[in-house]
Amino acid sequence: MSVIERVLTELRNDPVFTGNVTRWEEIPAREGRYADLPADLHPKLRGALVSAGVEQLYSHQAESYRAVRSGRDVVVVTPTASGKTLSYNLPVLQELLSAPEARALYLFPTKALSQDQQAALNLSVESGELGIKVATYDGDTPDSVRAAARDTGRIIISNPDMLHAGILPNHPKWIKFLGNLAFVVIDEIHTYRGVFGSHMTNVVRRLRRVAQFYGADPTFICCSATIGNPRELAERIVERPVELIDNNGAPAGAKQLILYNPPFVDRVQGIRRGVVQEARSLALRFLKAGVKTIVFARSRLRTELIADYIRKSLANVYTDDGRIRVEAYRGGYLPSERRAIEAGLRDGTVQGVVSTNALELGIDIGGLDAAVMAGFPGSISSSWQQAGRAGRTQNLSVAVMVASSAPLDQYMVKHPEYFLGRPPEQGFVDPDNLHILMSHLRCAAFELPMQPEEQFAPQSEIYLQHLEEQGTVRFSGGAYHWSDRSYPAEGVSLRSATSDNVVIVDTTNGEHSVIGETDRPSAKEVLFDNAIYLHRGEQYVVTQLDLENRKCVVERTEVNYYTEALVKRDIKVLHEDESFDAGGARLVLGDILVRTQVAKFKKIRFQSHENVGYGEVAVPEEEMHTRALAIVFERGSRAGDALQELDPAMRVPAVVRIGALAKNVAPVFLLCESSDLRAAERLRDPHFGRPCLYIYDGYPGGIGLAEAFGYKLDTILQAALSLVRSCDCGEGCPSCVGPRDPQEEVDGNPKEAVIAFLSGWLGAAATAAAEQALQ
Amino acid sequence: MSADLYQRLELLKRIRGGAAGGERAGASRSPRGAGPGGGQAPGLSGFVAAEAGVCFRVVREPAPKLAELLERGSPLLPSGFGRENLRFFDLETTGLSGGAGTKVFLAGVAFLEERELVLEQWLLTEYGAESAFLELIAERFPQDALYVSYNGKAFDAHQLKTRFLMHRRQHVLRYHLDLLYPARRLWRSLLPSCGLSELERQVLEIEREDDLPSFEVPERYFEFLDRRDPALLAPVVAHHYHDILSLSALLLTIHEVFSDPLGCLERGRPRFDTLQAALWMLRRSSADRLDAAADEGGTVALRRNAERLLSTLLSEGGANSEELARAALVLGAEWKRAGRYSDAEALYRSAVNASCDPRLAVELAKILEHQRGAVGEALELVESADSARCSRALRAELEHRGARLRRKLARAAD
Repeated sequence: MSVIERVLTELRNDPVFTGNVTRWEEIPAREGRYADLPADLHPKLRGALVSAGVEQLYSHQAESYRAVRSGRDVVVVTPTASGKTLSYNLPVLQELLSAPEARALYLFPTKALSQDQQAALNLSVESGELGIKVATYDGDTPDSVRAAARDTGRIIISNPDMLHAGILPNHPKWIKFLGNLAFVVIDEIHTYRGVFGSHMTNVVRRLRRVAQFYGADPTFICCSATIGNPRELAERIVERPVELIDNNGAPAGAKQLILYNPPFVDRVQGIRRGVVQEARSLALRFLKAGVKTIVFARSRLRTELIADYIRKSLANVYTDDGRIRVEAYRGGYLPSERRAIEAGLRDGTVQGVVSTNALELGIDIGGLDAAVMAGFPGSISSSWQQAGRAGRTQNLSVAVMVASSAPLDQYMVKHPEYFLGRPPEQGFVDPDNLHILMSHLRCAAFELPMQPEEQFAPQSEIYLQHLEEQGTVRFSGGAYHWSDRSYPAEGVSLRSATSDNVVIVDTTNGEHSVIGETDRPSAKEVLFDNAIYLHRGEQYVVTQLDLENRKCVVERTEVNYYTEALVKRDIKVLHEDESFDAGGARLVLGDILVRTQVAKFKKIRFQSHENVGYGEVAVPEEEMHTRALAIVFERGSRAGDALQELDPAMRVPAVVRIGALAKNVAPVFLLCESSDLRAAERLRDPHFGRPCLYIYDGYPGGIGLAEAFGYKLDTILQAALSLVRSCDCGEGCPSCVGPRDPQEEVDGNPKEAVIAFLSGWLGAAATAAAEQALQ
Repeated sequence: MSADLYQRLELLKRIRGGAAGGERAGASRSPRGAGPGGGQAPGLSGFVAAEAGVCFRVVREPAPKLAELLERGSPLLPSGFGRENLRFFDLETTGLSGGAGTKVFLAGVAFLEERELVLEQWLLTEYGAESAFLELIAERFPQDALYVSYNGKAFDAHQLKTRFLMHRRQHVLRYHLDLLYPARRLWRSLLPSCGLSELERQVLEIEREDDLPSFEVPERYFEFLDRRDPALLAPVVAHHYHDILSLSALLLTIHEVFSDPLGCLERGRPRFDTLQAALWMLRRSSADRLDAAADEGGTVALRRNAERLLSTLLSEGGANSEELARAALVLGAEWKRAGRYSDAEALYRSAVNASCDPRLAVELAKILEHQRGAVGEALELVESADSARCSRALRAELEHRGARLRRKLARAAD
């Protein structure tokens, strides 16, 4: 009996444990399906594979090889650890070996990933002495090696941001590379959804256009993790028919999936044991039995806490901590630290790791046997991805999801059939979103003059004419020429997150060493003066946060508490652009300022998590200026009256739920991600003096979603109503209005309140239409 | 136009701050169908049309001093380049950030003919004519000439190369004498900036009247494209013209400093950074960099002048202790190489008193130990050196040297 089988048997026979399990699912093992190495494989490549122990391919690798060799664009969808990289490396290397000028571009969504990729690739390339030069080209590439990378790199590993702002605008420097570009590999294509994906499609348009200028038409190889509509998404991003390869041929051992709801501490108040302690004790059970374990936590702080608690529980000088090493892993660590932890996991010197979702994506960390999710990861696809981190090709593995007391978590563990039966989320993109398209059209015109007949996007000439009126392009000699002094890519960020970061400097004992970094907005929430900063098991106290110089000075310390900021968010209306009555409510479109302020922090004792004090925080507010649609529920309007008719205690919960519902429904109509949109409700709004729901863009400056939401309000609300009516749940679930939240303390059924509210708001006709849609 | 599209365009107009360049007053639609800019020169004084959308002018300026310099040669000029393949060059572009969308619209090149500087300016008056413009320019910018510029090596030459590449042509200006680098050496420590206009005022003593600031150049050009009013471009052309003239003046001045530094010091003009000048001259004259002044005499003169400069710097004071130490270290090394140990010793002794740079003590100790056999005095020097001011490597060296000297002393005592 293997160690993991032993632990699982033990758990099964432990009534205390099983008493909290709401579902114990066994996912059967899968046989591998294999194919011979392709007959036409270059002898050098064959040699490299054989000497690396690869004598056969998984069926999907062979399938991908065949499709790509015959010139088709593909998207390969396979779970973690199914030999995904070989499914693109193989056809690429084959071509690069037989065509000495051919080049390939590998795009990864994050820098950390591309570095890992280079390591992996170098390994395979060097081991076979294939003589193919691989170079990473991203923000961290020193100037001194950039020219060499451009001129001699046969495979360039980069990210979309670099392609957008560094490579494409300077394409004449890349002639040799772009003119011979045979392949573009887009890995983790599922990350390009919503606004980010819409940018990505436009970057791909620009790449294709420039490559075409130099006479190249690369084949696209996309890879995706679990997602509801991989082929559709890939086709939206590449804008060509794409062949779907999702017949996973890799074998997999059986997996046990356990949904675990921590026991009550106080049944009357509904308080359960905390997810941090529960995840810790589960992980300990696995680790002590010799099972390699990964714990996923939902925040950086929790990652540090859980790792620390596990280490403390293991601490024992006599046994050298049972010879079990556990590391935390998250963004903000130095790259060298992360590489060391990854290597430790691969070579077996690290047995346990506690990570944020940073390890959810493809970084190679070798085989693990148990995954513990400390809280529902937020989406179904993330859950499967994280669960998939445990499991090797042969052995049994286990994944446990420990629910927190959050309503969403509770819903998942209490409705396992929902969790197990729900298909992974779909990804939408809207490359022709006006804001996004205009940004990239400017970049494209900068890169090459654009002919009127060129189909950059549907009807793009009309937009070019608009740019011409603005004076940023000029029609001359049959083409639109960039005619502005600016460098347009500089002003366009593909992501919402700022790239500003704060470095953390340890000055203990007069030293001055950088120990980590964090992005600027979260620096305000975790690195305020006197905050306790946890980093790989060490405690530091912040002596000075110097935002101006992007620096935070810390000193090592030892205290029995950690700190947590109390964050307040408020919305200020800056300008009302227009106000109109539509769909039974008053809609106001305008500019708002979303202010996030940390004014206080809590000191929380380790282990017991009691609150042991407060402190003041003096950091400037984080501000985001964006576009919003305010739905104002005025008396006399259909929506306002419908709200009035609700039980007063039910009004806030109902408006909150409309927000949640809108975020669930809108992505289909706006072709965005739910997280691109934000919703905030105010029962007595200080600006409008009425109950009000704000729907706003999660992007500085706005990206057109609030406007589009306004235009499509009727459609969205009708869809929302038919969704909530058709939903089988009793009092609300994550798919409709959101699960019941015990903290709201409402008596009635909030789902019914929402139905009543929406029906009244939309009026008889629309309600009937929604009903019709149901049938 | 579909209703949806109409709505989108309405929306478009409401997107504020969308255009990074902002909206330009009076921007209008470009003329269509008229071909690239019509066939005429835009009415700028002296310009004639070369082809549709391209015009140029040629101006001759007397340049006797430059002619003389080129006859006599200069330590600045690499060997193999004479008057026939020397070009001054400068470009005006539609932006300063580089990249594929930044266009060259005014290309200037000047060369010496007899005792005159012949200055050509080539102007692109419509983007559509860029290909013809580049065709013409290629002839005027031979690839193998030596290009004298101010920051042209890193910026202008690169821009030009990009434009040619975008028109599927390889045209590279291979050889450069970019005056930015020597100018930085000579004047960075004395001037608030090393921009060409700053140098003109402070060093070349040239005052421009009504000069258009460089950063306004692109806007002027865009406005000209829209309105076709030659008056808009006249200041750009004049600015560009003066930039090229200043290049030749700057070449002359830098040449003057390097060939007669002591004379310049005596006259007090132009002022320059004595230490940096001497360092440059020493490096230029060192054996492994003989591409410069090929003739033996030139090299010797450079080296002699550099030594004199350093001696002056050390004897006349005015330098801060850091400069002093650096000068003494460099000059001492020169003298040691020439076997002038007692001169070097005297130099180090006076410098050790004036500056507490521990490197000076180390150098003096070396001479005392190896040339004079004065081990005791050498050890004293090493031990008294201010180790707080040392780099880690130097501290290690001091310790190592101290230990060795102590061993030597002990052996001598046995």
